[in-house]
Amino acid sequence: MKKAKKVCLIGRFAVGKTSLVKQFISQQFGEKYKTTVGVSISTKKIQIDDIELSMVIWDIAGFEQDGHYTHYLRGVHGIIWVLDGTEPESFEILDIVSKSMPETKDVPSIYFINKCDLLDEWVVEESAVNDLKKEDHIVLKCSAKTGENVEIGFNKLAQLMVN
Amino acid sequence: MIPKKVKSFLLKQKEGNGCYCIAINDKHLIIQCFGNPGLVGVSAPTFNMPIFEFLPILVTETFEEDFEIPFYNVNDDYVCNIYFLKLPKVSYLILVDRSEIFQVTQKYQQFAHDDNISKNKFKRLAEELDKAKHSLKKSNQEKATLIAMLSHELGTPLTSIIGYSELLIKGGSNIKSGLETIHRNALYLQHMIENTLMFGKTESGGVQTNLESTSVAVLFSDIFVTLLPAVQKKKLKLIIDKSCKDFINIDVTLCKQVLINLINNAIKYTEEGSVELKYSLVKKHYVFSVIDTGLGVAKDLQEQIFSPWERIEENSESGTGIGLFISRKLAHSMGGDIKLKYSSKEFGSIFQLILPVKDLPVVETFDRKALINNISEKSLLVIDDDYDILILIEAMLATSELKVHTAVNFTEAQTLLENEEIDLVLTDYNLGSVKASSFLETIKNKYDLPVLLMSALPSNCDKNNYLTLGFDDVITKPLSVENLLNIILTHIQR
Repeated sequence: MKKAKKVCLIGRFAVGKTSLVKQFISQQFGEKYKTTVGVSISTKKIQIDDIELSMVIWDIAGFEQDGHYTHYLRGVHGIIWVLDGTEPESFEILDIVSKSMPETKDVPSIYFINKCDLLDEWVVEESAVNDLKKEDHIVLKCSAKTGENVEIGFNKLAQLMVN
Repeated sequence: MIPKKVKSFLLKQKEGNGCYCIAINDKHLIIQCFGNPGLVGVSAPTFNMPIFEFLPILVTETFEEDFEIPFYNVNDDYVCNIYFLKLPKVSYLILVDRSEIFQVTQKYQQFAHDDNISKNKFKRLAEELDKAKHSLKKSNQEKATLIAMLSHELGTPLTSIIGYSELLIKGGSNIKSGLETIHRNALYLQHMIENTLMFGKTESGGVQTNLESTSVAVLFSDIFVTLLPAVQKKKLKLIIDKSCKDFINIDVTLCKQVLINLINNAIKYTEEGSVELKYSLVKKHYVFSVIDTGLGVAKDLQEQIFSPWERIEENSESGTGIGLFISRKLAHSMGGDIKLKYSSKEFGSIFQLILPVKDLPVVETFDRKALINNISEKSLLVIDDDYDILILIEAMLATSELKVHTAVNFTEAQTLLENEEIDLVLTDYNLGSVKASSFLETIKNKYDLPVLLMSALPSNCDKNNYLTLGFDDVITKPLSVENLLNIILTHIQR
């Protein structure tokens, strides 16, 4: 059986959304930061039991522009919240989006706390990570650079969307 | 034919931009196209092709209502807005080229983000600098407190030393007992300086403890004699039971320091009545209780009194907390603690020092008498530019049969080394402008003698440095007969 699901990455600018997609799709990482404007689409097929799932990944521009994301989140099946372990302010996006689009709370989602390779710059307190975990969210510290937990995270979301 | 609604929409959106319009039926198959697909960066579709095969971004769309997808990145060169207009039977997808505005937006946004990232980095750096500044400030504060502690702690033995020495000068006291008190307090002072310096050297207050066996009676008698002048001055009653014959294994110096601090505080805050020191053994713990009939400690200050940082400012009774702070640190270093067991305005306070019962370490003993007999024909050369020290060492070693030569500089020392049979050299490090390290090699190579160094309270790091230079051992000043003789005996035998 074939299924197609729309997955959106939500996060502040420069948290590494595009890099995470690139790592997941082609296991590559670019050091240079290039800001995304609008939306780029990538597709990856994942086999889950007898289902061939086509993940249509919407890499959306950073969420610093008020409300611009409403066009993109329409009909979303899964959300990847991307946070930056070296940037505590990146967590603010969770409140902003859940207030303006409360319906996102009911969408299957996972939380990536990216840049876990930058140990010296990691400033996010463990308590903030645990707070997310307390709400039964799937929270993964990951690195778009090394690939740590990236595929695992996408696959977990795929499972959630299929179930 | 394009319906009117679509036409007017196209006219509105186009505004000089490239535009491509695709008509799809209710099964989402492409049935008609209008315009040049190259203008929006796509190739021409084949008819009856499902729309999501042509534009994969639409694969999850339900096409049930109008929608808009702004700034869809078609490829590296083209960006377009996608509009879907739902009409009966035939619907329309309109792709409007936004590459130009995208380039400008991208450039502007890239600049803004790069700027923001730099600002955040600077912000973080500034925060780190601020943290470093605060830590420096705290460290300075701690240093100041250490100095304050030192002054505070030195006060008690100094009072006894000054008091008894004045009495002796005036001939108002028994010479032997007066000198014994002065000597005991001077030793106490020395240990306190060593321990207080340790606080400065270690963040954790890692004070070295030296477990020894003593009787409660001896400990209490010492404390009684030390504190008697202070109690008499305030006309208080000092109740210390000196009859307890129990032997306890404690660090006598540290324990005494803590108990004296506790009793001193009690004396300070008791205007009339008594201060009592009690001992008991409770569940494998030595419990020393200091009971006073003083002012008591207000409830909101009962935890604060053990912390010097806050209390100094808030407590009008200046100085009390410093002693308690250092005392608690010392208690911790002995594996114990200090507690304020009880306090009230009516009845005063009970502070307790609680120490765990410990076994004494097994120490190798050596036959000192036999060793002393063996050194009767040995001779020692002492080099120090301070005549008082030379005289003191000669006096200290007078009871041993060791022959002592003295020199105030290396020239004198060299004459003695040439003309006398010397077995061991003991030298100060700073001899005027000359350092002992400068002639160490000469003594070692020419005379092949062990060289011991005297140094005032060296740190472990200093000691290691001296040993690396080639000195055979380091003797800590102030000197005691016991230590001096032990080290000399050890090295002279080799």
